[in-house]
Amino acid sequence: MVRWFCGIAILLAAIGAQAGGNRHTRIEVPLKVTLSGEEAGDRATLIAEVEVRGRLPAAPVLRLQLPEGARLVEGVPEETLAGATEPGQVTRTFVVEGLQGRTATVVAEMVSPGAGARSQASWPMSREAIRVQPTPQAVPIPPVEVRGVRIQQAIPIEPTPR
Amino acid sequence: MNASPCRSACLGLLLAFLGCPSPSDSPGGGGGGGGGGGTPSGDRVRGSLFYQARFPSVAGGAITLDTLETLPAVGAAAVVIDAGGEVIGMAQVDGDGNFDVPLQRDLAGGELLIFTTLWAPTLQSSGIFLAVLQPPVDGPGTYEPGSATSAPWAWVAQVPDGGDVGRVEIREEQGSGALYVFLFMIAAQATILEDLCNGNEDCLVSVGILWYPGVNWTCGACYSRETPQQIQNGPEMRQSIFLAGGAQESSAWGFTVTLHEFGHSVAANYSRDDSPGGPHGFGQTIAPAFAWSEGWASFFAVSTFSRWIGEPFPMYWDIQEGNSLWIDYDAMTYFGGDLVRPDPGAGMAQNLDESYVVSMLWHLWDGADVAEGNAWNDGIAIGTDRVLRAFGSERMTRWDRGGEGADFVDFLDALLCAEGGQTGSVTRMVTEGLGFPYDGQPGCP
Repeated sequence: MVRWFCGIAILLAAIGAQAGGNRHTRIEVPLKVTLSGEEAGDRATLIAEVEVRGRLPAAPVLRLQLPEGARLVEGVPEETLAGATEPGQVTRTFVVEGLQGRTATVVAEMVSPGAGARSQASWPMSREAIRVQPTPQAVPIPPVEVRGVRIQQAIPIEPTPR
Repeated sequence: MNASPCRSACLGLLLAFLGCPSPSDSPGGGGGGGGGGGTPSGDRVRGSLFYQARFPSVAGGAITLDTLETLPAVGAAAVVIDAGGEVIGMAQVDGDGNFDVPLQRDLAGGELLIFTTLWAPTLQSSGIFLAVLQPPVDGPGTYEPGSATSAPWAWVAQVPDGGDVGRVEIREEQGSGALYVFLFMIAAQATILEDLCNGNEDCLVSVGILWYPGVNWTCGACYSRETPQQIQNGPEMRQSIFLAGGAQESSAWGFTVTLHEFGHSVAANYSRDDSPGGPHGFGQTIAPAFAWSEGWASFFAVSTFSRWIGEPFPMYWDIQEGNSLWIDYDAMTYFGGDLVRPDPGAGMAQNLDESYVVSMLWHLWDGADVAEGNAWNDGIAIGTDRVLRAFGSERMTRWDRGGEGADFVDFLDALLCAEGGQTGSVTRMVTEGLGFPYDGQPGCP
């Protein structure tokens, strides 16, 4: 009976491993920072959350970058997060004056001789940060069979002037 | 195993690294040198093909892709069709980016020159073994990976009177990323054909790579062994690699990510992969079979790219949602001790950091196909041929020692079984140099 259960368990484990092993993903980046904020008059309270997703070889550094004229009232502009080398989350609060709708940015960065990681977040979210990619435009061509594949459209390219 | 020498088109950017042409011995886009099988007419179509590619730069912990370079499209196939859509010539782009296509009949006007992302080893090949495809999605966004019917990437230029096309360039906004992926993946597939399939095409497993600017996947970037892709108006690719194409991703330029995913395909198809899969992070120790699977895939990526550029490049890098990571597998083991080292007293079945597995493989491998890395001249240079021979051997694929499932111990056993004369030096290197408690006593078939 025990052997029967063991057999079933092994079979189920094998099926599970096969199903789980069907898709492989890339290694996760080990640092991620987010920045949220609230404004009250000329004063903004910013909350930076640093997520450590792996085991870091060196402590990450958290830096706040402000636009010209803005002033940090509370908080540390640059801090080595000494204990943040294991998976977990660290939160820091900044109080800033004079943002005037402009963007504050936090950067979390880890650098060691053999590895590096960096994450950056802005508040309000920077529009320039989102780069729109142009979409290639294909045009119809006379249907042609290349290596057994019928191709009916292609992206036009032109010779560059000599 | 022939490495392609790094040509002058390669630039020193990231630790003297940059993109480079695919191996000159590869039949490339499958053009071969022929004119499509018929009798040459005397007319030819000549020109050169270049493409834009982005390369990474390191600044502290950041990776940026601000550098846009133009490279010769070495290995691509130039196909000439007549006004009726019939192929009248085909040839491969050479190491300088030039093509010279002999034609089966004289130019009559209306001919077109076509480049695609469909690869077969030779003109006589029975099928397509690599395709970079445009996923059929409704514009930019994040999608669930799955099977689909997709068109290959294709570019077209008009052939002028006389057949001299001149210099054509595929720019980034014209999808040059697809060509970049295609060209370095040709090198990877050609390696598998040569070293694991002994030149037998029937053993090659076809792969469809889905990439399009602005299109991301819920898995980020992933390989799926049981997800076929149907080429529109063409054959089916048996397996899939999904690459994120968003502007905040490494996208097509992330060659280490693409080759890592292909490394999983190589393990699954030509060796053995018992990994449970799932999320995995930097510096985490994971089960031996999981660490082996991920470590092998990253090792395959850096060793393949190193051979492509002809010099050691032990760097893994990636950008995910604007967040970046880089790892130097050559430096990490010895300088700074950044990796989670094995516990010498914990036995051969202990959990391992996947990056440490990569680093061990790197130090066993480097020094043969490319020079030793900078960190440590360890005196061991196994090289790609021997690594792959062990990787695909009966000992690796059918036996099990160490942790449950295929792992680093099984690979070492397979290496020693194939390389009896090096038993002592490899075991010493692994135990004393790399700190892994391997017993050096493989059972061999």
